[in-house]
Amino acid sequence: MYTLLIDTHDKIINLVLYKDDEVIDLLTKQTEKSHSIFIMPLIDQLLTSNKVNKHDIGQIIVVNGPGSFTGVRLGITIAKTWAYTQKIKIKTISSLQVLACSLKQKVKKVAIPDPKGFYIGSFAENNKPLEEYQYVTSCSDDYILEQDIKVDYKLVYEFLKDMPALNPHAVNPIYIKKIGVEQ
Amino acid sequence: MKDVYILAIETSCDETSIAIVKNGHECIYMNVLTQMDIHANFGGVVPEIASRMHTENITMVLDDVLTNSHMRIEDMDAIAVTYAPGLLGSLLVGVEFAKTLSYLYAKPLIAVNHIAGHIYANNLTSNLRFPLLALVVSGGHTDLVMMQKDYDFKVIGKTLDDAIGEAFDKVARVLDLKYPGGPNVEKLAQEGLPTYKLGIIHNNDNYNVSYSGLKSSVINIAHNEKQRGNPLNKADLACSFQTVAINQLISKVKQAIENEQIKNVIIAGGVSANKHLRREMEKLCDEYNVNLAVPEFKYCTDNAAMIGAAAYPMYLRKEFASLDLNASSTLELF
Repeated sequence: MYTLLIDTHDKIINLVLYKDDEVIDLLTKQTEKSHSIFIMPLIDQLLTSNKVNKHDIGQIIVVNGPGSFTGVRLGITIAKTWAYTQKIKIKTISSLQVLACSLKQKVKKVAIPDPKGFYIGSFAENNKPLEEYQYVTSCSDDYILEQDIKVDYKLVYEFLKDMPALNPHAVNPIYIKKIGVEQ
Repeated sequence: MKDVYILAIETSCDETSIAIVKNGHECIYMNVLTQMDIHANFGGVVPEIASRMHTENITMVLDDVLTNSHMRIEDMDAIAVTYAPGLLGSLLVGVEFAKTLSYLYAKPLIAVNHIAGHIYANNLTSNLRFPLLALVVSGGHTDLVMMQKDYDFKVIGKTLDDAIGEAFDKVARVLDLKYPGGPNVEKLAQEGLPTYKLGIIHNNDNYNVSYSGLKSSVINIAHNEKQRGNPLNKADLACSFQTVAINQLISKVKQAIENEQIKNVIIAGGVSANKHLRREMEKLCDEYNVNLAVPEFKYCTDNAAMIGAAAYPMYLRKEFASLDLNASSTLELF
C-alpha cells in the first residue's frame, strides 16, 4: 500500500511517499510565496516521478499543526478531501509529535519557533504527549528547536501504524495560538 | 449538444457553498452553509474564523450535495471555484479543495471571479441578453458596466469612494444595528419615512456615484440630535439614507438608458437583494420599456450556483486553470 504524507505547517512543504512502511521518496520545497501555488503540482510530481498512480494511494497522513494557520489549512483541506472522496484511510500527527518521533530521549521537549514565539510540547519516550501544547513567547534551553532535529519519516510512520484511522470530515487543524478576537 | 455539468465552489467570505449547475442555467442542487450567526458575535466577519469554518465544513457540504443531487463527481464536466476577490484565507480553502478534486478526477479546473459570478447569477433565472447594462452593487462594488457579449466588460461609471454596501454597513453601525448591517438597515427603513434632509450630490456629467458624503451626513444628523438631546428616529434616518442612496443609483441608470440606447439592464451583487432598489429599478425600466433582469433572492447573496453559471461560458471557451492556481484577495474583473 502507498501512503502520502503532507506537511505544510511552515515555509517548507514536505511530501513523503511510502510503499508499505518504507519511505520511497521525499520532496521538500521552501516557498516564500503562497504554498497554494506549489502543493498540488508537487504532489503530482512526486507521484509521477515514482510512477505511482494517484488512485493507488491507500492512506494519507497529514500534519495538523501547530504552525502557519494558512499552511496547515491547505494541507488539511487536500488531505480530508482526498480521503473523503477516495474512501481511503486518513491519520493526523502534530508538527511537534513529528519532531518527537525522531528523538531518542526519555523525555522529549521540542519547540517550533515562529516570528513572535514558540509552539512547545513535551513527549514521553513512546512519543505520547505529556502535557497540552502551548504557545509561549520564550522557551527554556531544554527544548530542542525544530531546525536542530533531523526528521526520520520512517519513525513517524511506525508511530502512526497502530493508530486508528479518522473520519475525514472530523480532521481539522490544531491552532493553539490565540487570535485577536479570542484574547 | 451534450449537457454540461459543473461542480461549483464558493468560499470567498463567510458562506461555504457548493452547487451543481447544468449548462450554466439550471441549478441542480446547492448547499449554502452560512457562518453568519458566528460572526454576528463579533459584529462582523472575522477572516481567520471564516477560513477555519470553511476547512471544517467543506467536505460535509460536498457530501450533502452529492447525496441529495444523486450525482457523482465522475458525472461532472468541470470543477469551478471562486479564486478572487475576497478574503484570502477563505478563498484558499475553496481553491485547494477544487484543485484536489480536479486532480483526483482529472476534470478541468475553472477559476471564476466572484463579481462575474454575481453578474451571471442572472442566467440562473433568465438569459443574459446583450448588449446590456449591469448595475453591480455589493459591499465592495458600485459599478455601471456595459456588456456587448459574454465576459466583455466596459465600466462606464463607478463609486468615487465607498461602495453602496459598505455605506449601508457603516450607517448600520451609526444606528447600532447588528451584523449583517445592510439588510438590517433595509428592514428598519421599511418602518420609517424619508423625513431627514441628507446631502444630495448633484452630478450630471458622468455615471459616477459617491457615498462618502451621504454617510457623513447620516453621522452628523445622529451626532447633532444627540448633542441637542433630541430623540433620534432611527427608522426615519435609515429610510432617508436608503432613499437617497438608491435614488442616486437610479438617476445614473436613467441617464445611461437615455444616453446609451440601452434595452437590457441587469442587477448583480449582494445589494441586489434590496427590495427598495428592485422596486425602483422596475419602475424605471417599465417607464423606458427596458428589459430588467434581477437574480432570485437566493442567488443574490454569495452562493456557488452563480459561480457555476459564470464558469459555463469559460468552459465553452476552454479557459481552464492549472494546479498552480493561486487565490487573490484583490484581483478585479474590470
